[in-house]
Amino acid sequence: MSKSLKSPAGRRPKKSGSDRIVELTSLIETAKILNSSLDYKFIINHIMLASMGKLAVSKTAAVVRLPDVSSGKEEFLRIGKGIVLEDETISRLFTLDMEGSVAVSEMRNGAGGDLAVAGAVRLFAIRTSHRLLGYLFIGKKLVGTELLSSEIEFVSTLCNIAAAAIENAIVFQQYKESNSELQRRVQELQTLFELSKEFNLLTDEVRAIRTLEFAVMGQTGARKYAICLVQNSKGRIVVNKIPGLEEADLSTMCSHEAPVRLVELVGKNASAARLIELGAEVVIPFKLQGKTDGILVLGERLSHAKYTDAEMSFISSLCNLAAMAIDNARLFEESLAKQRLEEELNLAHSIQEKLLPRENPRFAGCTVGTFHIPTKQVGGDYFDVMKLSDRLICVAIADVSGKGFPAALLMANLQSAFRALMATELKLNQIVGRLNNIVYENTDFDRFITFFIAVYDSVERRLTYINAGHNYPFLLKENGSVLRLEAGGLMLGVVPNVSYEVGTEEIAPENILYMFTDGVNEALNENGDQFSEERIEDLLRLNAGLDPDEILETVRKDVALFVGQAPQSDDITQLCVKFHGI
Amino acid sequence: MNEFKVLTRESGNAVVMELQGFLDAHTAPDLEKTFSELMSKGKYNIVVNFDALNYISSAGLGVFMAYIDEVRNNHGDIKLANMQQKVFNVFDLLGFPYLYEIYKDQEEALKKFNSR
Repeated sequence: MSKSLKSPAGRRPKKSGSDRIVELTSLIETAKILNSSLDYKFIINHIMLASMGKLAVSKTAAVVRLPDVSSGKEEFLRIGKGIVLEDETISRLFTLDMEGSVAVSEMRNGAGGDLAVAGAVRLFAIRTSHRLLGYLFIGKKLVGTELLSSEIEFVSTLCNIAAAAIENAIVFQQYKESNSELQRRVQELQTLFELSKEFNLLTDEVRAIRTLEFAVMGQTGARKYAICLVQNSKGRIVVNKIPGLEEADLSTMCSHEAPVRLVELVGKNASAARLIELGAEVVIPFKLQGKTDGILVLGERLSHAKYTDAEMSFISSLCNLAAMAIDNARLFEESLAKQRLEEELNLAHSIQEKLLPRENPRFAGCTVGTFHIPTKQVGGDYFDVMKLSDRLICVAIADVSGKGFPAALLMANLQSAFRALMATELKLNQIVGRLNNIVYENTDFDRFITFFIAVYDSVERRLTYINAGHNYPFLLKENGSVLRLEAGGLMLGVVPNVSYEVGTEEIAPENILYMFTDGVNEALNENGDQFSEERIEDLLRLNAGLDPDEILETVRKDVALFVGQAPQSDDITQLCVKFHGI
Repeated sequence: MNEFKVLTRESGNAVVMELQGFLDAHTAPDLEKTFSELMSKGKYNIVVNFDALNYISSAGLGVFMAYIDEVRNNHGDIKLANMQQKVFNVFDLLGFPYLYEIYKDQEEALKKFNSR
């Protein structure tokens, strides 16, 4: 411990009584002023100025140790008037924990040298009875003489008075800080509570993100920030208030688990330096069920204050709440989209149903039965029955490759072209030839349609037909023989300008024409076996005596029995024509 | 329900925005809408009168943050006036008095614009 010069007796110069009174009065005045202030900067400034005036020195400095309530760390308040001290010197002086007043020249440690270099000649400890608050440093007197012991005593007394005032001010400041810290926490809790209520009400992502933005901006005063949502481990920037920031800059941040200051990631994460350069300071992940769902990048605040740990952890809670809301919004959106699709499908289904004949025309020469079930709401099977005149009737069946919407669209296209062509005077092979070209032009090479059309002349008792690649229909003849109607050509839509051969069959009463799509013969049972054309043929032979509708129902039941619990894999369409005598 | 309302009217070269009721996460979008309308009309001199505002939360403060840069970049300002003590306390707590000019009276704020 250095020498204490609290009472430098013996070297005291003679002083008149009135001088002492003036000095005392001035000290009492100072004490009043200092004790009535709760601002330690003012107090320190005051004793510095008072010393400078009284001692006629031009250089002073002071340092006070302040505890920081929110961080728990200590910081130093430094005020210098012509004397600048290094951090290291200051922390060494606080370690020395000195008392009273010491001449710098008498200090036997490194700090003394540093102080001398800085221009200080004497140091005064500012202490309360139990702890060191700081130091006051005095430079050389302007006149160049040594400090008088009375002067040293004056400054010492000043420091003692100031110590109590500074201690008061510090306690008051701490109280104020704790109080506002408490209020901040209350405010944070209110924000959390309010947002959790609000997020529960929200069903869209954009609103959820905007709400988070407002809360974060309001709470932190951040002007630079960005929000990036992570989906399938890919980042998507949804809000970008950091000029120059790109998704690529955040790719390595998107997997980050905990709130982090970017300075702590320099050297560990490739993007950290780049982000800091852009003005970003912290990265806060959105966590949902242990997964990072997004990140909030926070940068410069309007106040330029740094983000504290407490703030980061609070914002992280906000982000987690937001993650939940965004996820809910996503689920809601998905279920809405599904519902919309469902509605559209139902609409498409009813449109498609209307493209198929609802009622078969009454025709003297034959009875027609039809049967159709699609696997999904919409499908690619098509059939038609048209009475062309009193003696002519036309039946057609088609199967568009593929399933669902694309097949349904092509089927609708076929239907309209077919109906339009049938209204012309064109011959059967011309009609099919044109249909082929239309389908060819309207589709890619991998889309095609198998098509069968037959026209029955009830006067001539003749069936003319064209089979464009469709499953061969069965014609059950009067003698028990079964013909397959194969004449025709290539399926529609594969190559252009196909010429189709017209098949002709003479018809006797009770002959049966049975047409089907591959949903019938290729129906699969649980073992993966196909129903097969053989089964169809056997059924037709056995049930030839029935009406067309009964025949179709018999086949349907048999297919259903065969398939069992296996799901229907394709559209099923059948047409049956039973020819009459006259 | 806690209602929130914004009334705007022109006064000299500025627009006075009167806030009423509760400004929180739920009502913040209403205020946002008013600000965005003013921005689209090129009105950047804004005085916000808080006289009838009974409550503000962080999300409400966020709206002022969302527009301050755009307003100041266009040589305007958002000046705040006539705050009730409890509303001011929230601004104060979150450090907003350093960022915004806050006046006791709306006329004082308007004078600042008119004197320019």
